[in-house]
Amino acid sequence: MARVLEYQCPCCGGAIQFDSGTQKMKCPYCDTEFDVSTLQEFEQEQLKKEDRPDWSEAGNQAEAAKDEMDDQNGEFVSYICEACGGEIIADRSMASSRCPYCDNPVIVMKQLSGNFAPDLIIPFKLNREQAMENLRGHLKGKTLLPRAFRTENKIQEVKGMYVPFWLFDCDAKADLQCRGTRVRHWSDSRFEYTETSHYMITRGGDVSFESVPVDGSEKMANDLMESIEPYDYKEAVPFQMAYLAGFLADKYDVSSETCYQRANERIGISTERMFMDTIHGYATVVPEKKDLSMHKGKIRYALLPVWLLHTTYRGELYTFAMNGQTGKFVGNLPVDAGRAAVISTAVFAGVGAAALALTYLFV
Amino acid sequence: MIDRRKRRAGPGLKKRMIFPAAAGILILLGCLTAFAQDQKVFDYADVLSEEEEEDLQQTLAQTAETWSFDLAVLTVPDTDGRTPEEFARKSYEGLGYGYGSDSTGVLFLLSMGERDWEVYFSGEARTTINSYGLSCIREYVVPLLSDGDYYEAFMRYAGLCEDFIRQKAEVGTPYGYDGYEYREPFPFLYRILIGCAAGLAAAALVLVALWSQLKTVKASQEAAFYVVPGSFRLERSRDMFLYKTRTRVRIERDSGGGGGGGGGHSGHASSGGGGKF
Repeated sequence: MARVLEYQCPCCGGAIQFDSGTQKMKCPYCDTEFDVSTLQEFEQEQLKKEDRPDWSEAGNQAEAAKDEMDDQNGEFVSYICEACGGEIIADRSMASSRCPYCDNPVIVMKQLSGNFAPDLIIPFKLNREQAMENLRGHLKGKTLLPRAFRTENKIQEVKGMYVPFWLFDCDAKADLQCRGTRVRHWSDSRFEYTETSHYMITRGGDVSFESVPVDGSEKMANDLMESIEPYDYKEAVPFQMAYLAGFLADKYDVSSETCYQRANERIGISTERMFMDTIHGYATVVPEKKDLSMHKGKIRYALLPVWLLHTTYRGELYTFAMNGQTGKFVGNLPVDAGRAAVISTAVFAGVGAAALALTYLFV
Repeated sequence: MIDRRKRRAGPGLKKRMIFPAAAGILILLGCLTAFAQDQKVFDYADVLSEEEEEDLQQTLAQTAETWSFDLAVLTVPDTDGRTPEEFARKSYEGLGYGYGSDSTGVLFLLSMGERDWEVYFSGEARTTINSYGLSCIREYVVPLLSDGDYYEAFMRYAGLCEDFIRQKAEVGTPYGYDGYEYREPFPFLYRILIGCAAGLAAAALVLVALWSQLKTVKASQEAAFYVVPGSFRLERSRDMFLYKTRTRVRIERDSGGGGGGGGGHSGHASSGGGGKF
């Protein structure tokens, strides 16, 4: 079985987890707080001293092999909770979760070590209550939202999750060639003249981009994750497993090579727009040739905080996401078609009548 | 004699089987005087259908009754060798048109053979409709004749004359005097269309704005937020002139019409006028 990590309070032995409010590790049982690095060192020391038999490893080549086979062939793998011994079944990408029996936070070390170790993490700054509060705020002031949604929707799940992202730094080079026109009008007593001057416009140069994020999880919808951008990377810290305690986390299951295409797309569009914005004073500008190249720079693997809320309303599942650092809240809501029809009919009738009256004044 | 008249339906209209030249003689003799005041439309040239003729008759009769102002239409295959002006005048008098001691009214003559149109003003019509009204008829009615829309042309003539009559009756000053300008009525259908278009546009805008409040999940197309500050370098910038093209369009001038039209929007007393269509 793969090794799972559970942080225990040095004071009372309870399952300790990361507190977004204080940005420290906090025991929910005795309220003792610890710095992340302090606890990490304590845990390392404990691991060295520990002499209890490790049943999961002793002579267990077959188990390890089986585990690897599970990882490669099966969709799910199983882990043993070291607090209660319960079996945790999870998909291959799960890196952090809670034991379904004792609710202890568990971290799967091998998902986050070696080649899978993230380069950085942005810890949660906002907690579950703030996520719920933001949901309530998100529902306010929406004229076409069915009234019943506010009262009848059932929160199915609220989970704080570290989503794996690839962050791309790159230098983009651009060479653009466009055709532009300038138009002049004048007239004399007999004719109206139009003179069109045609130009060849060339722009070229380079621009650098830093930390363009693309989510590395197949389960996460790209548009949902892009909607809660941006993150403030100044608050990112080197990865430590302790930050995951109490939250869910997945390791990436979409490679950086695949994600690079999406980053390329966004960088390409921005680069072209920046150079086109340097062209002024023309009536029309039509791109004829564009040569954009992106030179790979650094690629970093990061875990970024997201609060996910799932709710059902009349049999439909609605998913909301909140940036766990900035609080930006997104999520599509249902439309009350009846109210939309009434409002649009009222506007049509009112504005139409006013326009009709105005024609009698002016025409 | 050739019966070129279609059988007419509806009350008050009598069947005619009179050759145009003979009709001209009869008109001159005033034989139809007793009936002519009621009948406002004589379509000897057969440019109108029976329904159109009846419709036009009702419109002109209504105007005459309302304003004590005769409006009449006469179409003939030819003017029997007379000038359109003379033919129109003789016909007006022969048919006994006109209200009051000065025989107030208007006759619109259409001669298909020579493609002449002629308008004859009598009595108060000379100042009420006047030369400005004549230029309006030339502008708004004659093009319809040229297009062959005879019914539309005569209805337009009837509406235009009634507008001029109403202006004089309600305001006291006819169009064409003291700066009063006649404006072609804007069709009601167009007003409805404008109202509908404005209403639809406003409703669409409001709906889109309210709908966009509910849909906040959007893929980000750009990465402008992630540009390294100060990293943008424009190294090559060139605007090269290639060539120029020039076009010109002749300015259309108002060609103006025949006589009687007066300058611009001012009018003066007129006994009528005409032209070709």
